[in-house]
Amino acid sequence: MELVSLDNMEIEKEAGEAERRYSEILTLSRVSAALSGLWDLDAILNVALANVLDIMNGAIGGILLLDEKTNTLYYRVHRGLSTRYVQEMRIRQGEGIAGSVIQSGEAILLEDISQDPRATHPDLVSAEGLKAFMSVPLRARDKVLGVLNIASRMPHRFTTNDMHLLYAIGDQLGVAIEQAKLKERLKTDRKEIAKLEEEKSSFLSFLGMAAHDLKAPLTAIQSYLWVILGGFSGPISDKQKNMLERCSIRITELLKLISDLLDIPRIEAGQVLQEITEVSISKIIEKCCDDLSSVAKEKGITVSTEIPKSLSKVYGSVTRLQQVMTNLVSNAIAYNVPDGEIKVRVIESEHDVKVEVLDTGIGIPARDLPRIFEEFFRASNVASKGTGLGLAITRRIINAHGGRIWVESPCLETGKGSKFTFSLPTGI
Amino acid sequence: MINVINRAKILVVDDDPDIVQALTMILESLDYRVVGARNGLEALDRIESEKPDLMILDLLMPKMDGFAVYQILQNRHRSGFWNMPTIILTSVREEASRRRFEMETGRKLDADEYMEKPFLPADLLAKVGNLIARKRSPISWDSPGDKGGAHGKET
Repeated sequence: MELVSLDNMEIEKEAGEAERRYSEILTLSRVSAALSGLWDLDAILNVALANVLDIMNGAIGGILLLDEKTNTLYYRVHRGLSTRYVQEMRIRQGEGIAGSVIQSGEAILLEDISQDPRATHPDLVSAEGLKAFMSVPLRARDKVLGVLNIASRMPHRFTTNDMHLLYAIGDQLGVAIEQAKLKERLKTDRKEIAKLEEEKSSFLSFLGMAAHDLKAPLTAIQSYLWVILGGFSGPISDKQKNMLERCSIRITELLKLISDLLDIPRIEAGQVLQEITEVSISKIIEKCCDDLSSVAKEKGITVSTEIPKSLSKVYGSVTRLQQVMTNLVSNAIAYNVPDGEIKVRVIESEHDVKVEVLDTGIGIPARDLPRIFEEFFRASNVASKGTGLGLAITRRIINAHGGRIWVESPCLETGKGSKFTFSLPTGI
Repeated sequence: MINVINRAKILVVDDDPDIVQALTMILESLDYRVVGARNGLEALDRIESEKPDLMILDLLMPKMDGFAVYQILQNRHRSGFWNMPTIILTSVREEASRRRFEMETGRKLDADEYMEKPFLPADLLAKVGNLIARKRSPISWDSPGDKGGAHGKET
C-alpha cells in the first residue's frame, strides 16, 4: 500500500511538473508573439516588461542595458519605480545585484532585498518598499547585454520555477535586443554612407568649379596671345613674337599641370565609373596614333600597330582610355631616340585584353622602375619635362577600370627601350 | 556696301568678355559680322533680333548655360533656328561634355563642331568657313540626317 501511495504522489508530482512546463511554454510563446514584428528597441523592452510583470503578478520591474562606452548598466525602461531614482542610476560591472548578474551571467533570486547587503541603492529599496526580488541576465549568444529585474512589495513572492521562466524570457529578450541593435546600427551606417556620398559629390562639384576658375583666366590669356601671334591685332616684331611664343608655351604647361592635378582626385572619387560605356580599343588606339603621328614624324619615329580584327567587348571611359593611350604613346615618342620605333600591340586572352606599347628609346634605369608610377616621380635619366603626373594618372585610370599596368625596361623582346603593358577586363 | 548682304553674321556666346573679344578679332579678320552675348538668355534674345548664320556657344555660363540654349533651339522646330550651325566651345573635354548633356537630358548633343578652349585661330576660321559654306549650299543643308552625321553614335 505504501508503495502505491508513493507512486500516486510521484504521479501527482509529475503531473504538476508537466502542467508547470506547459504553462511555461505558453508564457514563452506569448512573450515571443508579443515581441515578434517589433524592431524598435524601446518598444521591444516595454512590451517585454509589461508581459513579464503580468505573468509574474508583479508590479515593479525594469530592464537595464549595458552601455558599451562606459561599461555601466542603466535603466532603459521601468515600471512602478520613481523616475527620479532610476534615471541617473549607473551600475558598474560586479557592483550590487544587477552588476553581479551581468558579470556572471547567472540569475539571482532574493526572498527579501531590504535585508540584503548587496543592494546598491538601499534608499530606493526602502522608499519603494521592495521585498522579493529577481534579477536575470539578458543573453544573446555568448554576450550579456543587460539585466531584467522584477520586484514585489511582499517578501517570499517568487519561486525557483519563476526564476527559471524568467531566465528563459531573458534569453528570448536578449536575442530580440541584439537584433534591434543591429538594425539600429544598420540605420546609422546607412546615414553615414549617405553623408559620405554627399560629401563626395560636393567635393567633385568643388573640383569642377576649381578647374573652371583656374583655367578660365589662363584660357583668356592664351587666346589673346594667339590672336597677337596670329597677327590679328597688327604686326609684331620678331623679338616680341619670340617672347610671346615663350609665354604661350608656359601657359600651355600650366594648363596641363592644372588639369593633371585636378584629374587625380576626380579619378579617385570614381568619376570614371560615371563615364563607362562599351568602348572600341582599336578605335582608341588608332585615334591616338593618328593624333600623335605628326609629332612622331618630326622626330623620325615610326609608329606601327598590331591589333586583332575582332576583340571582345571592353567597358570603359572613352575619354580616359584615350588619355591613357596618349600618355603612353607620347612618352614613347618623347623618350625615344631619333629614327626610333614604337609598336602598339593588342593581345586578347581569356579574361582580359592587354595593350602593349613598345619603344626603342632610352629606357628606365632599374632603380627607378619601382617608383615610375608614383606622383611627381621622374626617372633619373630624363630632363625635367612634363608634369610628372602622366604615369600616375595612367595607373589610376587603369585601376579604376579594374585593370593593371606594368612596365619592363629594357623590353625583353627587343632588348631595347621599355614596354608598358596594361590589361582591361573583358565582358562584365 | 553691297557686300554686307553676303557677309555671314556670327553670334559668339561666352561669359568671359576676353574670349568674346579674342573670337571677334579673329572672325572680323575674315570680314564676318560678329554679335556677342554673355549668357544663355542674352543669346536667345540676340538670335531673335539678329538672326545669325552661325553660333559659337560656350557651355558653362551663368543665368542660362549652353546646354539649355542648345536644348531650347532644338525644341523650337518652328522657330527657324533649329538648324543654325553651332560650334560648341568648351573648356571641358568634348566627350565629357557630350556625356554630361546626354545624362542630364536623355538626348544626344549633336552639335556640328566642338572646339576646346584655348583654340588656335586657324582652326576656328577653318571650322567656321566649312559650316558657313555648308549652310549656303542648298543641297547638303536642311537634311536632318546630314546634321548629326559627323557625331553620330559610334558603331
